[in-house]
Amino acid sequence: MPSDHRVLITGAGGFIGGRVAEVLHGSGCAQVRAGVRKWAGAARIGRLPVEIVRCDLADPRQVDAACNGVTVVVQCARATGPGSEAQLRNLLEAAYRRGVTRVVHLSTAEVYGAVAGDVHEEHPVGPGQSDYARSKIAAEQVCAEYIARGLPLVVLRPTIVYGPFSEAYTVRVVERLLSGRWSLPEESCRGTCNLLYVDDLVAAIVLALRTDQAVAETFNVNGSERVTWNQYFRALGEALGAGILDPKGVLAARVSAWLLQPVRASAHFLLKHQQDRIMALYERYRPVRRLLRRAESLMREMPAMGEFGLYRRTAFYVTEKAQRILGYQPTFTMASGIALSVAWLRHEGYLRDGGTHLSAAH
Amino acid sequence: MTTGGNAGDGGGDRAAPPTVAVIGCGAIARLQHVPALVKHPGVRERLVLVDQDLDRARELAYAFGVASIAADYRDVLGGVDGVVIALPHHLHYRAALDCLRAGVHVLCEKPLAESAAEVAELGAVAEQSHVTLAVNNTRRLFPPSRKVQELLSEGAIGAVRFLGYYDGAKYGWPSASGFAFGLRGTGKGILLDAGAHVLDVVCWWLGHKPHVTAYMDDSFGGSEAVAKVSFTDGAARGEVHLSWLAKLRNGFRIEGEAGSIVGSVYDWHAVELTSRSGKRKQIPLNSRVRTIRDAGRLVVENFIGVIQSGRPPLVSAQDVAPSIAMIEECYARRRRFDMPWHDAWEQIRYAL
Repeated sequence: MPSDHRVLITGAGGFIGGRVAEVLHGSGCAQVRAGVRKWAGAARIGRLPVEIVRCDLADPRQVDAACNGVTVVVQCARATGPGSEAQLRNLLEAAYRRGVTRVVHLSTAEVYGAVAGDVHEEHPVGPGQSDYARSKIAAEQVCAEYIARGLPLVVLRPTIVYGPFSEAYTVRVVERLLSGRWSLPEESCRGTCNLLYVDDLVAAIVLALRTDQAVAETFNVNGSERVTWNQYFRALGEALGAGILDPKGVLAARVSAWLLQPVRASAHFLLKHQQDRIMALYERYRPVRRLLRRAESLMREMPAMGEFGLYRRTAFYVTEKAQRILGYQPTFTMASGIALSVAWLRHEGYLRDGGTHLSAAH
Repeated sequence: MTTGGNAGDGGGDRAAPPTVAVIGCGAIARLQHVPALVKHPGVRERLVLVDQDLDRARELAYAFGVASIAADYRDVLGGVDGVVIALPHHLHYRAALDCLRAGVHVLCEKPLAESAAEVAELGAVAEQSHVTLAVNNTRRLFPPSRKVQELLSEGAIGAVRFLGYYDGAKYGWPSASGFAFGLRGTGKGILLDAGAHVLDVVCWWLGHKPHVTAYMDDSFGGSEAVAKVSFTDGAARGEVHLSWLAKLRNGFRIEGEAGSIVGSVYDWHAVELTSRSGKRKQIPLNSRVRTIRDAGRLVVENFIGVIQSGRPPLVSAQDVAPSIAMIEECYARRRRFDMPWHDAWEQIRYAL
């Protein structure tokens, strides 16, 4: 990609957007404009001497200003839930009006739903299994409208993206493995994991930005190894020096997840609507602090109902099209991705070693 | 804007509420200074909110029933007794200098400045102008910080041999301008921000500035989000680990020749004192400062006292001078962490 390209990365405060910004800036491949929804999300990206702008997709004025003067856009912002389609329209409309020469939109392999076997891009999408999948399906439809209007847009469908800064598939999994309380049985995790190291996804994004034949196309983006969730959890556990998971029965694990469902729903509702009050109570009263910490760790460490389906799914998302048209070639093995992830976890203080953590619990 | 007496004579009118301007209407003004100031009888009516973004000033004024706003602090200095400087870090020194020269008492957000020379200059100008320069280093008021200082002064653990302080969480401060990130402000990150609190407490506990032996962070030319400081102080050694990216233990551990102290930064129930024989004792903190807001309120109350009756500030420019010097020393020795996961993009060079 010519280095005079000026790229807007939306969601640059997030896991994937942050990494796209780091690679594009670090490699000198493009001038980066990092778009963040809130300033509080800019701590990671602020480490780079790049332009950082507010770009809340819900605010058309911010979005338009962020698109001004850029040649390409990488859409990594989380636009899910109510209003997500309108938010994506704000971005695509601004990109269209400003004459942006390429937009790469990050969708997800979740759009295919609960499928099995080898899955190619021609496989029908939907019906959405979750709010997340439904939002992403709707977003792809918005992308299709803009492609029809002539916006040079590429849709990527990444799989299970992990690596440094991944909350869902690195940090949370590690917290669970280290808790010793994660009671997910082996027989529940025989599905295919479709692990994709974040830098391989960044490679696919860059290739989609620079390959003209990619325009108006949709690509699966996956790693190359067919590993199961069990293999991933075991390999990660070994890299961490964690013990073997509690071999609880499938039924017991499902009952635990089912019992926690109302707790999760209530916590979500309360945090959404009463966050200030809860935080005031948390700050002032020690028993409230203990209770909330306990509830939080319980919810993080126990699998939610929706995870059972994912861990059992045997689909493998094929990247033959991305290899043929984009020249995509995943280069990170599970072993190398895990090694880098663990090095990062150790550096950030997630793993209790060295002088970072205290001997007494506080 | 309102008018009021100038405090250049050292105390202002003791009978009348002071006229105060808050310079900068971002998150700290909204969450701490303005709510605390408007609680004082008569202060709200004479308060002036200053921000170059007048809409932001207007919004804050409306939320707290304040009548006066202004865009430029230089326009209000002739009519106020004191100012609270709540601007982005890189503007503290310049604004404090202007205000002190105008003969106005100053409560400045931390960090007071970026260098020891700037701090010394501000202190000298305050003295020449016969006004007080206070600094909002609230962490000194946190009950665990005070208790540790007390215990160390009493010699509860003897001479310090090791001091570790660990402070980290995903950044969540509702910054209005993002000045702390990238090259938007000073280009310096967590060390100048949270580090201004943590290193100040470390210097306060030790009674002086220790010697920095190593400093590493994760800046790639922008504002660092993780920083580690190593230091020595005579026979003692210490380390400070700060993070905006991940939750750390948020506590401290001090080992002395006659015992140790372990405590939490944010849980203010007790600190744990262990004697040389290994006997552990929880020392309850029982402070009237129960939340961070309480601590902030005390600072503002003290500042009103500074203006009205010449009370000494809770934290002065002189108090924070060692920590600012330490921060300066750290940046001068800056090295980047070894981060192989960051450099791993070399492996996808085929795509770039």
